[in-house]
Amino acid sequence: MPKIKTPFFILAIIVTVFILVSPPPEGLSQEGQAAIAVFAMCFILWTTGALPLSVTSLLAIALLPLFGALEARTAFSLFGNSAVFFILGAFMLAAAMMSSGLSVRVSLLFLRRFEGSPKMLISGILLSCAFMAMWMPAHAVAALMFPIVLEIALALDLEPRFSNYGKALFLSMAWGCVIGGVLTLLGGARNPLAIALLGEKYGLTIGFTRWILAVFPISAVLLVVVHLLVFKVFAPEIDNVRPARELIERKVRDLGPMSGREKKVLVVMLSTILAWIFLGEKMGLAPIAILGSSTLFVVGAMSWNDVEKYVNWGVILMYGGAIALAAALELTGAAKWMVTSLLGALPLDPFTLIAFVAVVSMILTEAMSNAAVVALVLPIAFELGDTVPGTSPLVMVFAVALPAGLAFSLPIGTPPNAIAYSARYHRLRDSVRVGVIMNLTALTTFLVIAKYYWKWIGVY
Amino acid sequence: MGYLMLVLSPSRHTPKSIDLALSLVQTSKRPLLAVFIMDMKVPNAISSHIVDIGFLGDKVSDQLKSTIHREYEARGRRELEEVKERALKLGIECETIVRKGDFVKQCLKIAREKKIEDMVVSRAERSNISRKLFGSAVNELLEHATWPIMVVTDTAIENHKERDGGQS
Repeated sequence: MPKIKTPFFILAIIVTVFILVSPPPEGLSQEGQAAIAVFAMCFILWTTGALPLSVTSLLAIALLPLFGALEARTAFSLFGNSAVFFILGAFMLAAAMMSSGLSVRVSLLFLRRFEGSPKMLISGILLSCAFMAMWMPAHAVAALMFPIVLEIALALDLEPRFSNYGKALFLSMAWGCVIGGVLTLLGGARNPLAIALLGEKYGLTIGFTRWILAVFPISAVLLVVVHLLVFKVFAPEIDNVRPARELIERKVRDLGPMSGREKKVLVVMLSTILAWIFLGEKMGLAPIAILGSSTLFVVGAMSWNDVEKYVNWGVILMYGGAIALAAALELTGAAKWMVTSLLGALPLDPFTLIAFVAVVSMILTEAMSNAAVVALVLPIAFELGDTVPGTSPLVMVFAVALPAGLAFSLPIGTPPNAIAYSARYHRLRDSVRVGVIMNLTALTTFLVIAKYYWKWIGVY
Repeated sequence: MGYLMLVLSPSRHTPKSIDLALSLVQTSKRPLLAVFIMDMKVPNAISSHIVDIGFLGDKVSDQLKSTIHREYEARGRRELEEVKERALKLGIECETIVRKGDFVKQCLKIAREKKIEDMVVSRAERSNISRKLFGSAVNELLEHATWPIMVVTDTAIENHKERDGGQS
């Protein structure tokens, strides 16, 4: 049974009740106060992990109408947001890739092109993880790449905790997933969640291609920096990766020819991605995701049993609840009140505001789920943006969702980091030492791109 | 003469602790009990992380957990084999055990089963504040053990001789 962190749960109850029973401050409605009470509860529970994320979301959706922040009909209808179905469809497509074995095949074939030298092998792991994390959740990619990287480390006879090359291998795996995961809307559900919140408040959206176009330079710079940094800090003690090469070749041979099921999944996946790119703006991303995942059943490439095994249904509760909470903060005026009364005095220009929001998101994401960061920070960031003339809400989406996905330092920051850490080839101080440099590089790159590139390509 | 118990685990391992244990048993002509504890706290936490935060199904988390489990077990056997080989070369009697479970509980259980005389254990360098805040399995072991324990870090050896709370 998972442990419930009782003291944090009690703290959440005390804070929520305290806010609820206090007289509403000037400028805040009773509904707004109720929304802030639920927001505070979610903040404590999501940050401390006192309850599973999805259960906290479920509580939010129940408490919002109970406390009078939203009508029950409105609160529950927000579960039907198209982003929730896009995320669900994307998870089902990923499930098909994993259950058919296609994901392992693509990863190995990709990796085989980079097996010549220690440096090339690291590039291969970094790029194959990043590439895969563009098309399926970064967590799933880390889980599927982990046994492969572990076998490579064993084949190379690297000593856990002491081998520099072992450290470089596992950190490259984790950070490849992290960097690839921010590049599309499929790598992490926080990206579609952020777009859903944008749609709820402003009726705007960011298409599949536009997202990639905006984020690509950041991912490219970070991939180069990781590669250089990992080799600089963890100078490899080996100069021959022949055993790893033989291992990868053997694994590719063992896979045999591509099965009919893999071919079907590949065709459906490619068609779905093309549809997102070319028809996404017109049709919407969610209908395409659902059509794509349904096609897998029609052509016999996936069974419902596969979905049950590979997808956790908490995903719907988490994102549905997060959207409801954000909507409550917006509709009741609570977000506006928090910004004007708590942060209104800050003399901010658009660029400083973007930097401020990005730094807050990046710090929070090292300690809590990146989806929770988006759910908690983005509604406030939108209101902040509205108070500073010249700030586009589109930029606010990137300022929260991108840094929220870029957790490099701590294993708790994101599952890929935790998975890599579990191999115990690197210590906490190894990932923190280099991860902090990566965080600073990511922030600087983000700010430079935000200031010059996004204006140039017309993001805002 | 009772055993000197050398404790290793995936996260608690320094070459210095093995050297120290071997030199101690060689000097005192005692048998060595080399133990590897597969502490599954981290893999279990990661497994639930994947389900609760990553929203992936049980199959993914179970596969990952069993991969980590296999790796820890293989690593334990490999490391203990190396220790045993070195001990035999020095003419030291050496018994090895691989156990899965909570680090502190398993250490105490094996130590009592085998009626050990003393113990060598390693731990990572961390500040005392961090140990107080986030907990320390080795500190917990020191609290419960009734035999002398030498704690080896990368840079120091702490000799906890008195088991009534004293430290020399």
